[in-house]
Amino acid sequence: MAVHPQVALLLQATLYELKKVTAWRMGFFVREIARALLRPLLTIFMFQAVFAAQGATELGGRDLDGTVRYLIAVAWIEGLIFHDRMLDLAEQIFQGYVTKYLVMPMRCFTLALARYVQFSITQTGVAALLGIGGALLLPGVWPLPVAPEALLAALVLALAGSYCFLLLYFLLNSIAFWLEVVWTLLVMTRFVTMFLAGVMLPLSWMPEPLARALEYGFPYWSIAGPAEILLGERPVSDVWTGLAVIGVSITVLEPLRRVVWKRGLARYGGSGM
Amino acid sequence: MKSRFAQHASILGQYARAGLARRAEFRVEFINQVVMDCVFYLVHILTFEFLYNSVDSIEGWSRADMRVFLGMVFVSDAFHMIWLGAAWFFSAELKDGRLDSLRLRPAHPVLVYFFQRFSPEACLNMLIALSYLVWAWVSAGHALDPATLGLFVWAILLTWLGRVTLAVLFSILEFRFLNSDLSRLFMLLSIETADRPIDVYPRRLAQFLLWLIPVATWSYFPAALVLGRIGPGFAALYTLFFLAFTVLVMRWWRRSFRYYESALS
Repeated sequence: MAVHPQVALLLQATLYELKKVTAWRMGFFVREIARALLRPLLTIFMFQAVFAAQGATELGGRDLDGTVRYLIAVAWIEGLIFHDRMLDLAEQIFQGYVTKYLVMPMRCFTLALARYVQFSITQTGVAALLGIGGALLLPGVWPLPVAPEALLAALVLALAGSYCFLLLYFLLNSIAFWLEVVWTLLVMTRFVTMFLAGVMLPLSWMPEPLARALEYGFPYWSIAGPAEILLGERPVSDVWTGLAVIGVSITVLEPLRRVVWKRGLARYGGSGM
Repeated sequence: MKSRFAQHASILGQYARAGLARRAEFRVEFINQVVMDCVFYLVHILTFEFLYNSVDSIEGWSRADMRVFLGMVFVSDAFHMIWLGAAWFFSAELKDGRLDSLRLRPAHPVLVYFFQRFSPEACLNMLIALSYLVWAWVSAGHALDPATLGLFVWAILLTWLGRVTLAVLFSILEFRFLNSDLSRLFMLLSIETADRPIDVYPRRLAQFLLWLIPVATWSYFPAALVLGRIGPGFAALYTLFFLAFTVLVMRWWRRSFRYYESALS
């Protein structure tokens, strides 16, 4: 029996995306290293200064070592999250290159999904290398998973959360049918979601009601939640709460994405392929 | 014949006029960009406000000092958004050979290229950033006398010059490593680094950011200058150093431009 055309397309497109991303070896290496290392490093310096200034052993529910481990874990997991710059759909809409989806037997989302699959494969590989390297080079500092199932739970949550980000960014890109330029919306979304996910500041440093409220959002369960499970600050069984929150988010985002794309395509008047 | 200054001012005026006309076509985008920068400000403000709920000071920076520092971060960022948008496209345009017109040199090529994407919406953000900076200053109980205003003008001009100089410096990498997009990478890393006072970094990194890649000019040094955290003698000396650094970078850029080859026009 022949494979479903969309599945075949997904596999083929994922292969192309993988070839493309690995063709830029040096740039890929520099970007990954810079992205993975610099921000957490700067944030760690910041928190070291905070602890030193206060002379405190525990702030925000963690000691300095615990805070450092949390920040590294968050940066480690953040590398798995689908990035807004991974999609160029808005540009295609603006330039008039989406006509092909009106006439050819393929779905645009399948290509975006292929990019998500490629991204997830590549970044999981990078994260694994980082994890091994970090554990060997920085044994006292690197956030070692408390148990194999904690690592698995964190990975599953991060990849499921990353899928939510794909849906969100696809949706925002589709708004280009109306707004023509949406990069500001994408950047805005990145700022807000990274803040809500506890990347810029651990949730334990935020006011209690706000921190509790953020635990109902998929950004938290994509990054900070998995980090806490990985470090044993949350029980592994909380993975079900996380998956439930992410599941609800997907249930809302998926139909929304379909409706916006369909309506946008209906008013599309470009001529390029 | 126009003087050199008038010629440069006239080019900037034309860029501003074109920027206004362009943005009038994308009205929603105008609002979006203003809101986007406000979100950027809000996220930074909340991060530090929440931090200061647990601590009194960070490396000698009190909550009030940090607000002034953030004001400088926002003013610096708004300047980049107003005038230096072209810096993000340099790598691609160099690769595609779209810089031929710079060879005609109606003015300094750095001004002609880097200032071409004027953003009127960022002017509104500059107003918001300046308002926050003034609020941070006044709410901390500092005076707003003529001497202080002079200090602010000095600090703000320095942060703007710092933005231009480093944008140009990073773009030099593109001449050597074509299509590497290293200028964008270094720009992003610098933005990340400048978001916190360099006092929180290890000493060697702080010195690096002060003297070798002077990201400190974007926010740390101007804020420290107005807050009196550095003496006037050192401030004057550092400003002279940075002016000399800028001249060297501009000359280096012009020399590097000789490597540019293109068949387009």
